[in-house]
Amino acid sequence: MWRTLGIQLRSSGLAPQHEGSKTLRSAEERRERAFVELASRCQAVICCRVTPKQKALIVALVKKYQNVVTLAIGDGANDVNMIKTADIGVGVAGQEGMQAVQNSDYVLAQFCFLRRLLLVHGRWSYMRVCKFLRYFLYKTLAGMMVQIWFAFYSGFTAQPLYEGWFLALFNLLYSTLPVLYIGLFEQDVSAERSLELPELYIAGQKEELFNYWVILQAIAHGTATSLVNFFMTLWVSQNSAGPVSLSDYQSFAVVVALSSLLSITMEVILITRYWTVLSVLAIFLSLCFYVVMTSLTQSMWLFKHSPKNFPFLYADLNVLTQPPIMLVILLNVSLNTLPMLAFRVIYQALKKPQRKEEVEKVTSEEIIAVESVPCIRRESPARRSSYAFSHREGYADLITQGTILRRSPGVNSDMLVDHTMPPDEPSGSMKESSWYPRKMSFLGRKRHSHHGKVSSEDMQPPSEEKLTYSPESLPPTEMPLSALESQMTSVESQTLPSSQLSLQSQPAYLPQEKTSLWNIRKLSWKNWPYVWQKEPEPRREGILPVSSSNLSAVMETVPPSAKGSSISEQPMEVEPSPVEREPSPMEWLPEPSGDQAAPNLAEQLPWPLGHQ
Amino acid sequence: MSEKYMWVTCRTRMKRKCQNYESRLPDNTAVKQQQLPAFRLQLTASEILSGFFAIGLFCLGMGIILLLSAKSIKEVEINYTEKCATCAKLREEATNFDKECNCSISFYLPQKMEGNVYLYYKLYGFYQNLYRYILSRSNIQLVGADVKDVRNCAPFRTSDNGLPIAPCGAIANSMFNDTIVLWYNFNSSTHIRVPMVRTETAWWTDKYVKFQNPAFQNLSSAFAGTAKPPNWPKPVYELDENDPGNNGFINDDFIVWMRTAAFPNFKKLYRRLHRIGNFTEGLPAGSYSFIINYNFPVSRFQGQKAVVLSTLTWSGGSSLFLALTYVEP
Repeated sequence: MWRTLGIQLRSSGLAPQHEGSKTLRSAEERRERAFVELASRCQAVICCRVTPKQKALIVALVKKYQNVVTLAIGDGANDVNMIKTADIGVGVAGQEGMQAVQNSDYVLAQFCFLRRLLLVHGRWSYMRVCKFLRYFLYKTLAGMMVQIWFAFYSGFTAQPLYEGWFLALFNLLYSTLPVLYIGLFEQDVSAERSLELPELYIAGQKEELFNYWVILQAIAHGTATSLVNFFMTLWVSQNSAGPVSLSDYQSFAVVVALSSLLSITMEVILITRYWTVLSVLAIFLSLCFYVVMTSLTQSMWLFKHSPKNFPFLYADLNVLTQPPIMLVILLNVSLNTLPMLAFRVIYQALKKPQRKEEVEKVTSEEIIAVESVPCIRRESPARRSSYAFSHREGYADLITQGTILRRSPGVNSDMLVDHTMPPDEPSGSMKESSWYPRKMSFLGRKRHSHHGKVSSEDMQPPSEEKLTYSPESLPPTEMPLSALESQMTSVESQTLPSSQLSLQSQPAYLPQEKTSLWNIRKLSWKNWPYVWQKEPEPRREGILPVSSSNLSAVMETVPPSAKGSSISEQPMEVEPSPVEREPSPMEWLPEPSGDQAAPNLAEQLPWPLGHQ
Repeated sequence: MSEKYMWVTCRTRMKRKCQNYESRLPDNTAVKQQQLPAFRLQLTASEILSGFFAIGLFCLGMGIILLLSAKSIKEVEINYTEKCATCAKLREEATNFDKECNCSISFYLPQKMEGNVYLYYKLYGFYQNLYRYILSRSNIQLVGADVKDVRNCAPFRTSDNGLPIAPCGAIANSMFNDTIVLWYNFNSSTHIRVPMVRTETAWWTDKYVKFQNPAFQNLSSAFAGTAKPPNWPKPVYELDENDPGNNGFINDDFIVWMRTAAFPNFKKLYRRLHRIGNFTEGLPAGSYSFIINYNFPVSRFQGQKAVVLSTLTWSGGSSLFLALTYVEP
């Protein structure tokens, strides 16, 4: 596959093949990319027996090829590399020492806390920071763009519209507390809801709360607010003069400043969703600060002290004691607040029905996507457990063939191996092809066996022919069966009717035992709790009834022949060499149905027993 | 719920483990655990709509009131820059500063102006909001603390002979010095000068707090050692010799001028109608004329001058605009 890929690249001219090392590098890169792509399609990837360096490399790979933020959590010193490589490193403080803890960005006491860290606190932090930034942009623009509009009227001589003290204290005292509250305490949904709805986390991954579009919105909103504040006041002041006038510079400045401040405060009131004592206090304190500081900087005492620095003597007082001017301020604030509120409500109302459809579509799409992503097509929905053992040839061939070990009801052992045939082969050839590699691996395994009483190679070919079984094919198999019989050593054969030969198909994939196959088969039906079954597949429907009929035929014949049958241990020796076999799930307890052949068995079947 | 339980048991387990040394768990206070008693603001559409309607009704009411009051405002504006062309031409030459020039403008008032009538002078294109212009004043001097403090008044700090200018600065120097007098043609033969008052044209805080004459027996001696601004015909202590309450820094015209306007086209209050005699209820309809002593040159900066007669309501002038914007929501 790699070679063909390389050829394609070469032909398309994408991969310069001037140097051999480049080829190697690009080949390596292709492998890396393929690995990362494959891993990303899985829901979970288990890498076991990896060195610390490999852990870090895996994280680095994901970072390199997927444009995502990575998080690594670990508890031991071997996780330090990985924790440092990832964007966010989380250490679990526990029994493995403090190495991981000291090198990480976050420390948890238990692994289960990671869920809370991400779904609750991580999401809240993202939301808070985004809201804070957006509102900060808005308030700065809303407050200060007025200077630009005033510049058009002041000959661009940089005359500030606001009082100097207002400018200095605006970002310090008058508007910081509410926005700080938003950045520290705001919660859009409660912690419990965040845990219940992990989908809310996706908003952070998709950068939905702060992106270029959001910035643009904040800028536009701030600019619009400043325009309203300035020009409304301007147009009102043009018609007024006299004692109740806005036309002089200081009154105008004060009115615009106050409308800006109030508009911004109204906006923060609308934005804050999580109202606590602190939020109320923040807003109240901000306005109090405005009142206190303005009256201070415009007071007589400070003016007398330094008239140059406090020129706005009693400007606010003069302005605010006149009701018409209060009306102007009210007008400005309402013009800034109400349309935005209306817009937001309408947007929410319009978005909801669309959003519901979208969510349904998305979830159904996701479900479909999840099912369609794996390239290996599955026909059966049966559970499939796959293990990847890296250091030895393990169950890989089981997996590739998809053999299933399903336990019959009433047995507690939990040995399950999937047994699904690749669907795109005809039944017969399918069996053959599936058995062929089985045979090879089986042969490979069998190399270890010291008890070569059964020569599997001899047994297999004839059994292959038997695979294409049908009631009609039974008689022809009689001959090979007799061959089998002859090859069997110390077989207490039972001449079974030919109908029992149908069972040959079943034991075909059984390891060849010393005892006769049909005996084994027969006993397996009666005695063994584990049934070697094929998964019922739609394409192989035709086969099933045949097999079942065969089996039923066998069932009938089993009892009479059971007496003299030799009990064979475990016809299910499909498992790999007992060395690898996990003790508990793969253990097949022999059930002594009859103890006639027990001594025979004992000497004949030392291998499976001995290796347990 | 199980999450909480797990978390709680984890905490207690940790606490038991950590009894040997200080526990590093954060405090279990409401603030630090982000569990303050809270109210989640969820504005429903019905709440917002009802709020909108309430505010809309209020705005409508206010708008109607303002509209009605605005409708009753009468205003007369006369631009006299071109009308007094000879005087304007005269004033273009700075050497003609000592030549007096009077200009007479007649107009007819179709309806009488009821209530308080205010006389304004309006300037077009005079930028009182330039940065260096606004900076060029000395509040210390104007408050009477130190007459000779002219620190920020560049370029009008000292006169040619080195004396500090009082009042210094560009704002003071450019003070509007046209004199406007309104005459009422009672009939073809009699002309009545319309009584005008100049008090209460400035802010109260300006007149009594921000602008103070330096304390001395004699006003002229208080300003000893200072010079008059270059563009002024008379020194500051001769602004109104008849009225000591209007002389020196506390001259109303001066104070009104010193309160800089925000925009280049502004009007400043000049006089108020004194409602006595024939003018108890305002200005009766009839023919009037303005006699203007034209002093202030505006052609050099392509400006314009106008005189405005207007009534005022509680809403401050003919704010038709305000009324309309209130009706609109």
